[in-house]
Amino acid sequence: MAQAEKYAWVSLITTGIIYWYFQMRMLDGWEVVDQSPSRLLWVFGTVVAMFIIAEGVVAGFLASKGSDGEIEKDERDLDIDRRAEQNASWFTIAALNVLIFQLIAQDAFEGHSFTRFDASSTSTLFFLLFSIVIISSIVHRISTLILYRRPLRSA
Amino acid sequence: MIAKKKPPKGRVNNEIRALRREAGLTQQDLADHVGATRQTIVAIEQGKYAPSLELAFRIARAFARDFEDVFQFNPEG
Repeated sequence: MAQAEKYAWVSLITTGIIYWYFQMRMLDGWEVVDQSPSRLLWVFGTVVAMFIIAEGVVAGFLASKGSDGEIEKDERDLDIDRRAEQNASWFTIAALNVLIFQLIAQDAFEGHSFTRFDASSTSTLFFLLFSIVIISSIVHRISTLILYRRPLRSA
Repeated sequence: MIAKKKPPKGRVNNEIRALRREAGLTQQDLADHVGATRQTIVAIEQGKYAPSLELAFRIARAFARDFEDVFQFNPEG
C-alpha cells in the first residue's frame, strides 16, 4: 500500500472520530443545541486544534518511515490527490447549494410541512457549515481510497 | 458553452514486466531508478495506470530501449 494511501486511511479514521466529537458537542439527538458564542468558539477552536494535531501526528509518523523524511508521493499519488480534491470541491458546492435552496424554500413555502432548520440560530448555521467542511474532508479521503483501487487514465 | 471532447478509443500496453524480469530488476529497483513508488510500477504493469510521457520515457531509458519497445499503442483497446 502506498504511503499516501495509508495516510488517507488513517486520516479518514481520525476525521471520522473528530466529526463524532463535534456532533457530541453540538447535537442532542437530531436537534442542534443552542449554545453561547463563547461556547461555539471553544468548540470551533478545539475541533481545529484536533485536526491540526491529528494531521501532524499522522503525517509525521508516516514521514519518519519514508526515505527522505517525507511522505513519498509520485505523479500517480499527486494525480489521485488532485482528482479527490476535485470530488471534495464538487461535494462542497453541491452541499452549499442545497443549503441555499433550503433557506429560500423555508421562506417561500411557509405553510408547507417539511424539514426546517432555524436559520436565525448561530449554533445551527455553525453546525451546518462546519459539517460541510468536515464532510468534504471525508469525501476527499474516501475518493482517494476509491481512486487507488480503480484504473486511472491521464486526464 | 465549451463542449468536452470525448477521448477516442485506445489503450497503451507495455512490456515492463517482461523487460524488468529480463534485466533482473525488482519493482522496487525500477521504482527507485525512475523516481516513482513501487505501487505505481505495479499499477503500470497491470495496465491500471497510464504514466505521464516523462515517466514513460524514464522507464524506457532505464531498460536502455526505444520508447516503442516498451510501450505500444493499441487503437482498438
